[in-house]
Amino acid sequence: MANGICIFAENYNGKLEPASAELVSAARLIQETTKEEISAIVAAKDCDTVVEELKGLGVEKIYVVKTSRDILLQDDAASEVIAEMLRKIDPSSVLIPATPTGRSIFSRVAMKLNCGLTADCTELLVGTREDGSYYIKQNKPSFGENVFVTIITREGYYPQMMTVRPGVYTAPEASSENSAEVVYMDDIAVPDSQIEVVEVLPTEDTTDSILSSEIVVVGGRGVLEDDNFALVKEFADKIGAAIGGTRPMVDTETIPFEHQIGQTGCTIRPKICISLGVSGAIQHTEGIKDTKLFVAVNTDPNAAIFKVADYGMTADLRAVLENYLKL
Amino acid sequence: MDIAVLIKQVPVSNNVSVDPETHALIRASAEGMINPADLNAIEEAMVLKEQTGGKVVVFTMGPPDAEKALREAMAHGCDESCLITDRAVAGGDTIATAKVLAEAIKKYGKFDLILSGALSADGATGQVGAMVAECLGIPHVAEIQSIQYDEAVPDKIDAVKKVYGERFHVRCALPAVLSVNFGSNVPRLATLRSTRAAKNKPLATYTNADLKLPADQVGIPGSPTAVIDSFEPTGGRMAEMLEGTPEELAVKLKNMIDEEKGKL
Amino acid sequence: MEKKKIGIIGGGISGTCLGYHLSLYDNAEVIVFEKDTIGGASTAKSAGTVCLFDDSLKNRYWDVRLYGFESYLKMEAEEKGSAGFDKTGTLVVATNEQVEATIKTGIALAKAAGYSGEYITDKDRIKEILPDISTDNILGAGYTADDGYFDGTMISNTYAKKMQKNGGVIKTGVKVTEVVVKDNKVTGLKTSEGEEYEFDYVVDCTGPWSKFTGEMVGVDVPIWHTKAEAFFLCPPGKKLNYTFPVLKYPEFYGLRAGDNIFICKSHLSMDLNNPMHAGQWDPDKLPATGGTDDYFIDFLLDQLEVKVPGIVDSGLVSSWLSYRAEPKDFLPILGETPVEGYILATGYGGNGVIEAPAASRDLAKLIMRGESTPLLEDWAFKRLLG
Repeated sequence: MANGICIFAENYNGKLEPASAELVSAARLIQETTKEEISAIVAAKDCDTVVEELKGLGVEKIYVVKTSRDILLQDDAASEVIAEMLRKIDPSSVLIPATPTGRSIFSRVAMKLNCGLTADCTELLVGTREDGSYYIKQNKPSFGENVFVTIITREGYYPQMMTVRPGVYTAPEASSENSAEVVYMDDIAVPDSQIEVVEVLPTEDTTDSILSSEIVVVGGRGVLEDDNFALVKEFADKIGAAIGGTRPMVDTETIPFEHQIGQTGCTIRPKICISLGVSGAIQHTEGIKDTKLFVAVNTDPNAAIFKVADYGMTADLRAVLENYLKL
Repeated sequence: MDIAVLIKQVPVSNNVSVDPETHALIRASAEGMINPADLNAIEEAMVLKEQTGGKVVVFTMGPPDAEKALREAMAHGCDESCLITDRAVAGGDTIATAKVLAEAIKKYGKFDLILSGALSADGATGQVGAMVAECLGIPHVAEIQSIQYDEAVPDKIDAVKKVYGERFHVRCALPAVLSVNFGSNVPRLATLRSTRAAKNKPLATYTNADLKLPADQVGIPGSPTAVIDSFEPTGGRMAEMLEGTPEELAVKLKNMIDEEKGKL
Repeated sequence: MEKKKIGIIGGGISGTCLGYHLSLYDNAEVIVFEKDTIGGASTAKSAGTVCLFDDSLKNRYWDVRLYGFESYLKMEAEEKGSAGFDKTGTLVVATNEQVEATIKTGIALAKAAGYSGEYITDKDRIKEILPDISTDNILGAGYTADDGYFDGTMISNTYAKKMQKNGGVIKTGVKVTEVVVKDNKVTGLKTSEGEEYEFDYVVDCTGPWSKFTGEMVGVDVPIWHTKAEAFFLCPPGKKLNYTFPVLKYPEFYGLRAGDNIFICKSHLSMDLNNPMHAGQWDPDKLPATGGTDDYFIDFLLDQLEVKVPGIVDSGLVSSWLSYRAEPKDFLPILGETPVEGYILATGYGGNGVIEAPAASRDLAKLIMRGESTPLLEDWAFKRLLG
């Protein structure tokens, strides 16, 4: 019978990814009800330091496949190893960071095990079936962040696998007093991979393309007053953002047309959007989608932009930015 | 090089609410469009086609209306298309969907490369491409920034993947699945002329009668996961207004940005 | 003086412009109820062309056009950007003698008002103004450098602000759920917030929603929806090396939108008897972008190939579909209805931005002073009854 909560210890360069540490807290909340053991799985060449980190976080058991070669980005091989580990461990649930690596490897694992994989959960709750067995209610946003859905792994499919959005749970404090049983699964062989890492390329200069930028500062008419644009530019540089704007910004040639956001210009999908002095006419707001953090600053408390932003500040953008740049 | 591109029709607007009584989703509009990242995948296919020749076939699974997305993809330059539409395969999760897509690709013909967008604008699971690769028993590289093909190494494809703050140049044996990030290139636009021409390009329609997958492997019965409820986020649609002096607001802004940047 | 309380349903160009004009009267107490955002629906999908001359508004209503144009020029002069004016000039192409005559009259009227205008038959000159045009099969073109296009959303928001300065109240995100009528007389309305308001007049400024708004008081507002379908085109060379003017043909019109070109089927080429063009649909189901019909692609391709071949191979950037509220005669419905105190300011169709200032000026006078005007007589609801 499948039992135990297993977390995937994603690591890079011998260090545990913070998102994996957070999973320990998510697992503990499940454990309060189900009383199951919390384990972690590691498959890497340089796994010793990762194992030490995991011990400090208070997991009870650590399953390790120490690979003979680096399997970074070899998702075909890595998924084979991890699927085999899970077959042997037989946990009831697997928690995975919702990172590019997590969703890539575990998509293959889910297909190999013919179990499901719920993506990008922001809340995990425990439900109880009529027979007294437990299941995990996997809550996740859908359609941007407009609705939330509860997903379950149907009875009979094990393990229940889900990726959890980084930053939702807070990692537990590490303590040297914690200890864990370490199980080396030496009989699991690493298959050949069809993928090789040829080289690590030099990091690009911050790209000026507004479409591919993960952080965008958007300026409106408020930015055109009193030389505010210089300040906005300094702010954008500081946070590593591309600058977009509304039609008045383009009409005054403050920014090029390629950076006009909205119906007439382009649609952007940044993770972070900081909107400054934008009233929020629909032709403009239609051009900003799928943000994770959207903050708007405007002097007008009734500005329509506050209907689409996550956070609003009724303030003079100049005063806020001047203070920001001092921090 | 023959290339298959997997696309998804997503709602134009993510403006969806939940009926408080039935918890059913209410969509503001039924208007669909090609998932934005899929257009980046199509663009990569076009560049490779220009370099190597061959044909590009675009696949989607969905209601009959998804033909619109296929026609649009062909207006962007894809040569042929395949629509998998059948009530039996509808409503499936990523596992059940990937099985259907993989089977349709196999039935349609041999491909050297399969491309998809990295994440969809509605579900954003990022899973289907990798799952299709697993079904087909071929490697995949997910969430890539660019693709390069060197005729001197005909059985491999090169890609750049950004992860852990680094840019990795990876090389993958063909056939393979690559999923392309949104914004990684500038997709060419369709024109009025190419849109009209797309109306006459080939469109194959498959149902499960063609694919012959067991009924318990596809659609809702073949899905290990199920959506049991939907609800609206607390707090409504209005921004949470933050109060304070400009100094305090600057600190709040910095904390929010730093926290979110930590997740990138 | 006794106060008159007026509730306006709808915060588009019709509602905000009327609200502003009413707020100029000392004894008006005005509240505008907008269920979403100001100028965010049909108004946001307006091209905002207030051309000094074209065929979208009969020469008979020249003064209406001029009043609109000058109101916005003043608005723009008071605060740059507040009307979103882009002075690109307008080129109106004559493809037959009837159109030519209309244009020539328009030019004469524009000149009489002190604006420039000329009718050009020299095809090289026409090509200088719009290098991508084909001058085959045209008689000539009217041209003025003095006008261009405005931004309906911006104008609505400016009117809303000006109205608030005069003491008017705007309630956004508030839907009117019931209009209260006693003994065939309006007494107030109720909102989605559960509030009840008392009014002497309730004005329907809901454009494409008027059919549904009218049902609340049992008035059958005889409007149809025509489909205005628009594309944003990215010219083949990405950036034009000339200023694309507002371009008007009887079948379609275009104007610049940043470095792109906005192109839309012309208002008067809509056939109310063709179900592809006109019907009665639910505007709440309209997507913000997309939704255009297939026939529109064929229509535009055929039109551009012949008329503006230089841009026919432009990239399709985005598109939208809008419903315009049109009575059978394509003129607005203004003023009183069989229900006392229930006033209409709707049915502007594709011409809300052009017509709202003059219409609101007159309608405010009717409401506040009981004085009608020839314009209100022409556009009265009763013309459509029986």
